[in-house]
Formats: sequence, C-alpha cells, structure tokens
Amino acid sequence: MSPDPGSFAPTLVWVATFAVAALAASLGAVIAYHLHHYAMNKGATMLALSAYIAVSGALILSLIGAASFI
Amino acid sequence: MSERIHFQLDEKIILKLRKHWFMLLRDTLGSFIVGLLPFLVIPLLIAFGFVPQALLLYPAVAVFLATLWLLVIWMALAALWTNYYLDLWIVTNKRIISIDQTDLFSRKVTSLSLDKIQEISVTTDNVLETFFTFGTIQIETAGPTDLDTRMEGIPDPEKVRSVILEQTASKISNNQ
Repeated sequence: MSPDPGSFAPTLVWVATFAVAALAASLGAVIAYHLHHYAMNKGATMLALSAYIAVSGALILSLIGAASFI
Repeated sequence: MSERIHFQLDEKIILKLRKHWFMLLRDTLGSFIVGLLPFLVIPLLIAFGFVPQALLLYPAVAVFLATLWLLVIWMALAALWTNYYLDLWIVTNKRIISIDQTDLFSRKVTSLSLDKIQEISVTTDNVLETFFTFGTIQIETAGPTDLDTRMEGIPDPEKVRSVILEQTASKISNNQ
C-alpha cells in the first residue's frame, strides 16, 4: 500500500521548521561567541544579542504556530 | 576590552574607528528590499489571478512561508551587523591595529607600527561619500614585508589621517 502523498506536506513543514530554528539558534551561538571574544563594548553586545534572541524567538514561535495549523 | 588584542603597558588608544553608518545602511537596504519583495509581489500575483484559488484556502501556509522568509532575512541582517560591528581600526600611540571581519568565520588582524608608515592616502569616490564625509584610507608601509592596509568607509578620513600623521611624528621624535 503506497502512502498518501498529501501526508508528506506536514512532515516537510515540520522538518523545515526545525531546520530553520536550529540554523537560527546556531547563528545566535556563533554571534554570541564572536561578540563575547572580540567586541569592545559589552553593553552593545548584550543589546544586540537580546534583540536577536527576541525577534528570532518570536518568529520561531510564529513558525511553529503556523506549522501546527497546516 | 577585546580579549584577543594585547596592548603594551605604555600604549594609549587614540582612536577607535568603525565604518560609517552609511556602509551598514547600504548593506542592510539590499536585505530589506529582498525581504519585502514577496510581500509586494505575491498580492499582485493573487490580484491578477496567477495563484490557484485552492492555495488561498490555506492561510496557515501563507503565514508559515512568510515567517520562514522573515526569519531567513533576520538571520542575514544579524550576520551583516556582526560583521560591521567587529570591523575595527584602533589607532594607538605606537601602532595601528586593523581588524577585518570579512564574514562570520574569517577574521584578519593586522598590526602596523607607526614608524613603518610611509604614505597615507585618502580617497573619496562619489557623491554619497562626499556628502556624508567618509572615504577609504590606504596606508603603505616600508620594509621587507610590504604590509599595506586599507579600510573603506572611514568617517572623516582627513581628520583620521592627520591624527595618524601626528602620532607618527611624535613616535619618531621620541625614538630619536
């Protein structure tokens, strides 16, 4: 019995969601590492990282929300 | 202070230079345009009937794709800002340290002793650079290594050149 082609779509959506979320988290870690080691102003570093985490987090949550409705 | 640059005890930082904000704006603008493009083009495609009606029944798919796109653009902007922020020139009373963060994983740190400097040239290329007062500084050094350094988008490059020349003269007179 062959699987229903329509059932692949939600799987692809979840794979894409977790792949992009993992990419965003990895990029956040790389940026945090670089800023921690090389930046001269720790205040600006913390502000930039907080902005990155807040916006990425909101977008990832929105992505998960939309994926759960597909 | 940066952990990877070690200053000597009697070394004083005279200038810390980052590229002009217009350089960041120029790079960021491209990402913004690319980011907004689907939100301008897709409604037009829907209006002109190029999108199948069946797809319009699933708004969650549209929200999903839009969010995915915005997240990718946001990551590109974060990488751009980090590269901009970590590109730095530090002028001390002994040397010039040029930190060139070309992308997230490549970084070049060059240190030029002030007494090795042979020539400093300032280039202002176009209307925007003239209007916003920024340009390119190229420093040529003497010696077997022939180590030259160049930084684009330096704010007020003429003033920076004067400061470097003053520090160079001061270092040479201290050495004599």
